Amino acid sequence: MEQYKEPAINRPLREFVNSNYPGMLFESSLSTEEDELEPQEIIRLAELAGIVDERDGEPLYRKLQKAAQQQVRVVVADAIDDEPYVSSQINPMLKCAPQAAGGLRLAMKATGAGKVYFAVYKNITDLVHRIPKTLEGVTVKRIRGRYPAEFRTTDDFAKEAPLALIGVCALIHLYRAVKEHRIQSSCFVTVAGNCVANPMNLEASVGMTVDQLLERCGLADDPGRIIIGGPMTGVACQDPSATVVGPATRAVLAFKEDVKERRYQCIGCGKCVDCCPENLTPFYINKYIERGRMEMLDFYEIDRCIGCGTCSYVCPAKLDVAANIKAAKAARQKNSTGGLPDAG
Amino acid sequence: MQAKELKAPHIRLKDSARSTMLDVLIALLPLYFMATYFYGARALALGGVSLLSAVAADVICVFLSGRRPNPRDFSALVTGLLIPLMLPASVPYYVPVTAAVFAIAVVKHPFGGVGQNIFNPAAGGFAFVSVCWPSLVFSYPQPMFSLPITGELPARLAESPAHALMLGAVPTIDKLDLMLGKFAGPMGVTNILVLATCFLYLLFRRAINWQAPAAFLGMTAAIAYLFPRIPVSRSESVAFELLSGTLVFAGIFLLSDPVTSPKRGLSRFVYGALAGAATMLLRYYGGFEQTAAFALLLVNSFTLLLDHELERLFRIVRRAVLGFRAYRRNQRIIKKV
Amino acid sequence: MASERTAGTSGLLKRFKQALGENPVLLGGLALAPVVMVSTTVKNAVALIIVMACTLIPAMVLEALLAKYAPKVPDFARMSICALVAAAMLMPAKMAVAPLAQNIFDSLGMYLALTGVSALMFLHSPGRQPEEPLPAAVDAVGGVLGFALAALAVGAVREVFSLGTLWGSPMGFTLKFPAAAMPFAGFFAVAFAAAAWNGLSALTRKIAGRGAKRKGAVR
Repeated sequence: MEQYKEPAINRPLREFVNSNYPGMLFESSLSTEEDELEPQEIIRLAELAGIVDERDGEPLYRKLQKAAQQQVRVVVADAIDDEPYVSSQINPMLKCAPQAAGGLRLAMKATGAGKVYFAVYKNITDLVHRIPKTLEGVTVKRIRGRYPAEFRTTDDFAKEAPLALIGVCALIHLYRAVKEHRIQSSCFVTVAGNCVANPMNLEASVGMTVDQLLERCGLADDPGRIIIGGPMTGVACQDPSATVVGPATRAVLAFKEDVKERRYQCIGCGKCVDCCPENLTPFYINKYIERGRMEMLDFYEIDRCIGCGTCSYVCPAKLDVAANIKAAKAARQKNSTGGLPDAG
Repeated sequence: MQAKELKAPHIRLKDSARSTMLDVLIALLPLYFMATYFYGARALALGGVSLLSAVAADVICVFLSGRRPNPRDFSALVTGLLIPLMLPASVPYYVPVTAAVFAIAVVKHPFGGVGQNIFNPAAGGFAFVSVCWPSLVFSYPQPMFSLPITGELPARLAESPAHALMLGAVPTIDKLDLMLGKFAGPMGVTNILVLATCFLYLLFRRAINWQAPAAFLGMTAAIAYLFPRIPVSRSESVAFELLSGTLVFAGIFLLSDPVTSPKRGLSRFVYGALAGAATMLLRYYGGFEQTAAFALLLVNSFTLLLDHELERLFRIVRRAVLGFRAYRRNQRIIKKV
Repeated sequence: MASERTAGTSGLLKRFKQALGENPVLLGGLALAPVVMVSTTVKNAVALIIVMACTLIPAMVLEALLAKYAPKVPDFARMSICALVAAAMLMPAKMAVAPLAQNIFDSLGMYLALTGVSALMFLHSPGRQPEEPLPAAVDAVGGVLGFALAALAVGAVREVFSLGTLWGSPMGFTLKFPAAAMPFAGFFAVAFAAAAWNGLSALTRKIAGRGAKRKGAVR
């Protein structure tokens, strides 16, 4: 899979904030020095700053509390960015390395873990500068393999389980919360796509509209589709002037595409079966969904689908395999009491 | 602003059904070049006639089924070009026309058209004409002897080495000629070097899968090695069995047809091996000398069954191997919440 | 259904149409083996139809009569009697077929003789109940006619394709497909005939529906 992370990944991280950004501080009597803080106090600061993890939209303080209870051995800063175009974790990690490493140390202290790592996706092929082996004294681990790499992270650190995975941007915000008592009022967003004149990573204020972000980077063309999130799993944005970016927004992508009606039919090539990371058979699942034979979906274990979208990506007939499966899965979960317990 | 709902993923691989079919067409061109080199312009004329009738039959069938023909659908072209390559260059024009029309109108469209057919159209068409006119389909002109497009054909037609094998005789062909396909045989499928090049091209372009052809060729070679039909050394037996007819061609172009082959790698392996065994059994005990097409039609009917039964196996594998991973991921989810 | 099928000429006519419409071969998939194996030419098809008529109609009528006038005869005995009668009717059927061609009955092998059993399959076809003799006869005739249509169509197509003739006389073209006489071509022919039958009935239904609509509009 082409990564298309250039040039956004190497461009400097620009701030794009509104006027009240500098005043977004909270009141606290706690110290701003790392060494003088107890673990509970760090978690308290994270709560006061309202930091949200950009990986899953979970409040950071709750994740830290859980991790502390589980007595994790490792804290991994997730800067994987395995989807093409998106570099909104790697870029801040490189450009704000001291803050990211500082946040990681704070998280280590808060959870009582013994080790910390950065995790970066290995298969980024179009990098100009190499990603360093260590960053501010913290080892950078590379996650290998094909596209859906993020869900495999736990396997790569299997020897050191249990572990806590925290997004890099949340860690940067944690560092700022401790050092400056700053509320999380911004988020790191990649603005890219083949319509964007200057693809780059922005630190944008929460509440900016998608239109504003695209204007900041310049549109070279009238975009056919605007996507919030990564190109594989993101959501198409219907009204960019009314949609705002939030803490869990990782990318805003604008694409121009040919709208030719192709009318391909499935030729049964089986590429979707070959590429499925969960070893499922999307070909048959899609076929049975199209024919309305929902009772067969149990046999083909539709509940194990992780929704990575690879099957649609490789489909030479350009069928909406992943979207069909997602819809069918949602309909099933609405109807039934739930699928397999381990349907992660 | 946007009329239709746009679904994730929003980027797609460039390969399309059209480019896949185009790759197969490109891979067929060298075979036509070889056929023209061996038998003159008549080979091209046969290909053109078959191509035209296949496309015409396809368009008519699509209209009959109440759809619009899709100009991006090249599957009928592939079928039309595959069929004449398995026939002798001396065959009358109505034979490839019949085969192509039968392939499209009887084997492909009644089952639902592109992507739905259970049996390989090209194999079906070839099987039909070889049942109808075995004397025309299984007697071949000598190579390096240009045949006229119309008019009188040389009366001197020969049997192929595959026929000698069927009678239990040792074909009298030079090894190099066998490799280069310079013997009386089907017009476009005898040159093993060109075939291998086409195979590599298709593999490189990912237009076909490698499992089914590999298992097929391996199985046929193994049977030919273990149970030689003719009194020669085992390796010679393998060479004669594999190179004397449409076997390699069928393994590469017909067996790996994406529509009719199974979808899982493992089931493709089983499928190819079954097809190989069926081909050799039909050769040993059947009435025809070229049996790969018949064997393929036979095995095609097992495609769905293979996939379905092997899915059971994969369910167990998922439980055992991936279940562990899912368990760990589950723990991570618990941790996250 | 039974109450719908009342006595009287119009009822019987309706019944006949229904029996004809529910083609046993093309829709029911009954008696496939004789059609596929035997009806390679029109002549063979006619022979097959004669045998079918000779065995099926008496067997079905007899069954209805028995059911009405001797209701105490148990089911299995009634069936066996019918089968015996059908088998016995093969003898006159053989004579009736003889004028078509010498030894056609024997040359077609066991399939014509097996047709006697087909009558049993008709009797056992799902959803059938023993009924009044007259409707049963109408049913039988309709079924045989439907069978005749299918067998004739398949036989004609296969004869034209395999031998280039129709009822033994040449059609004037030289291209022949010997494979059409093989059983697999018989299956194809039956399948295409079934598709054509379905298409035709859909078409007639559509036309009838249109007519009804127009009538309603006029009213």
